[in-house]
Amino acid sequence: MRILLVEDDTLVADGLKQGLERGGYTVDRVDSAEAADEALKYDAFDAAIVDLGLPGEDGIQFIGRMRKRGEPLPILILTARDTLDACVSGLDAGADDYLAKPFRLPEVLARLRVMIRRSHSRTASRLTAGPLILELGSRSAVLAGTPLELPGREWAILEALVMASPNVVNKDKLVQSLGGWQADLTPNAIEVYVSRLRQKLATAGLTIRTVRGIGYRLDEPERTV
Amino acid sequence: MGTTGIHRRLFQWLLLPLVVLFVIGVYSDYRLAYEPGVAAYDQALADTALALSACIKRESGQVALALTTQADTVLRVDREDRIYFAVFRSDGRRIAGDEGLPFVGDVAGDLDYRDARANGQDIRVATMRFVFEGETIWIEAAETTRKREQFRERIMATIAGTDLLQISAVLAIVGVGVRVGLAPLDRLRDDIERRSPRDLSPLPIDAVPDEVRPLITSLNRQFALLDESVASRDRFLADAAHQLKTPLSALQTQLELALLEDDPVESRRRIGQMAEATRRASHLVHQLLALARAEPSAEIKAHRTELDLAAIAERIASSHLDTAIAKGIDLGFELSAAPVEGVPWLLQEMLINLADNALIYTPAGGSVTVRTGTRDGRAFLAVEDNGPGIPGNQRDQVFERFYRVPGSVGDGCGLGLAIAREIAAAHGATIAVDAGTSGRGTLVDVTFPVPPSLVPRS
Repeated sequence: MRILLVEDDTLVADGLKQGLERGGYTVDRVDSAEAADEALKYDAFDAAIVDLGLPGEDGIQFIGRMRKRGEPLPILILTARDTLDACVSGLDAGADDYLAKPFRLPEVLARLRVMIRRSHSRTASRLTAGPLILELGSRSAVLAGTPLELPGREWAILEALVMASPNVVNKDKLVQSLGGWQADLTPNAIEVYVSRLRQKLATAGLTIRTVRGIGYRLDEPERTV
Repeated sequence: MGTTGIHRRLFQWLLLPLVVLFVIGVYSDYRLAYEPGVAAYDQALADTALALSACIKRESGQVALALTTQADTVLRVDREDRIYFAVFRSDGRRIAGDEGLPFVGDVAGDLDYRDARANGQDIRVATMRFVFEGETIWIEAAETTRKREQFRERIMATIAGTDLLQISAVLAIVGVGVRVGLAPLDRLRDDIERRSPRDLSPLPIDAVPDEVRPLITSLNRQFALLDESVASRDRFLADAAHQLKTPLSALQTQLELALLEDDPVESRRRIGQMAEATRRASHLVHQLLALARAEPSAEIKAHRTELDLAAIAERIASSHLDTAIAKGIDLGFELSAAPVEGVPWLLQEMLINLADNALIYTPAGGSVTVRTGTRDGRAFLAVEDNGPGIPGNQRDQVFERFYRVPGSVGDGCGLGLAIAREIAAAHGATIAVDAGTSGRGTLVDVTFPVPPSLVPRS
């Protein structure tokens, strides 16, 4: 995974670059929007992290320009001005998510992971969550290299969990979205499917956590610290 | 603005009616003096006509005016005006008299006066009906209007002069009265202008007229509020700086020690403490900003939308779940639709703070429950824990900035509930701290007003 980091503050950029590299990413760092344009011309990236307060062209204009020319790269904004207006205009310009400085490395990694997963699910036909791979086209799953047998509803529930991760999936919404598929689905039935999924995923360290009163969350092995 | 405004208004409102009164007064005075005078002149003309009527005779079968030259002269004597007279038959044929006098003829009644012109002059004509031996005859006596004009001018001059004098006197009195009457206001204005902008002491109320007293009272109340808020802001700034100094000095100390440290294990431990101090400083800065932004402002009003508290609770569930798992706390949700009108990020900030607090102060093995829903049509948001709880006598103090319950564990900075209270206030919501439902722990409940869009129109 290759990340374009557009940040002019050397201290912040250096820490972020090292942190991301430890998280398994390859990082190219530039210090201005102009330099970022150059980098985008010659290399393909999986995501960009853009500081809003850049020298020269500011981050919001840069993102707006990228989106205008149809660049689909997922973008995470970093900003010290975490006022509502700055964040909203960044998201309006086409960024996917934002983080206010000072941020913590695990948070940056988590946001990146979600962003990249979402962008891949839009473009590719494959979802991943740790050791789990879901092939959307063939509706087949592979867990830690071994094919996983998943009947229709289990597949649908797992797909929803992977899509939402690390967010919580609302059980009622799950019932509603799967209910159209076959009308006899009850919240209790969902529990049965989830417990079957739990057994199947347990071997690879993936857990489906019950969030009392809301629903379920899929936790990858490194999330359960 | 200011008292000059009142001066001007008073003058305007007095001057206009006074001018109208002056015009009406002059007119009615004029009528009152002029009309009886003119009536006296008219009467003299009628007398002339009457004298002429005595001279109507029949001569050789014809009606004629038998007037001696002497009598004619006597009748025409006047100091100012020329006198004309003539006698007409009812068909307008002149029997005798001045050629230039026009025939007025059939008038209502036996005697009438009117204005006319003869020989290029304005004249006043008295026309008298006289029946002589069964034949109707018209006798006209007229005079030029010079003495009437002079009379009119004399009257006008007198009336206008005295009335003008009167009105000027009234205006002068009003002017002095307004100035004297408003003098206390002018003094007040000078007092206020002389004050230093930082002087928020109350204005003296004794020397102030009754009418202005409520104004000064409310001004003094505003001064007191402002004084209080300036003082509290100063206190807050000092507190904030002090609070920020603590993690920063911890960071600095650890950093200096780490630079001297040779033992890698000890170095790691120190760096871990630095990370913790930095995290606390960051958190505090975030909280200070959140508090500043929660203050009522136009921006907050502009960003209000209709939203569901349940959706906000669901959104923060995942991140707080991690904290709860790490601490071994059972975090649960009981969410029903809770429609409110509010600012999404502020309400989220409030819920984050309430949930953070509950997770910080609840020991491992405890449970925290976030609830949303409606009670009597009003949306509520509640966070309950079964931790140590807050003693009853401190449930108001916990909303104070930087207040921490004595002996409490955890590394809160004492702003969470203050932020929650500000945000609740910005939404017109009430926030209360109580014991949990089982009598243990803490229950923070925020009850919102019915959103305007849901208030039934009556």
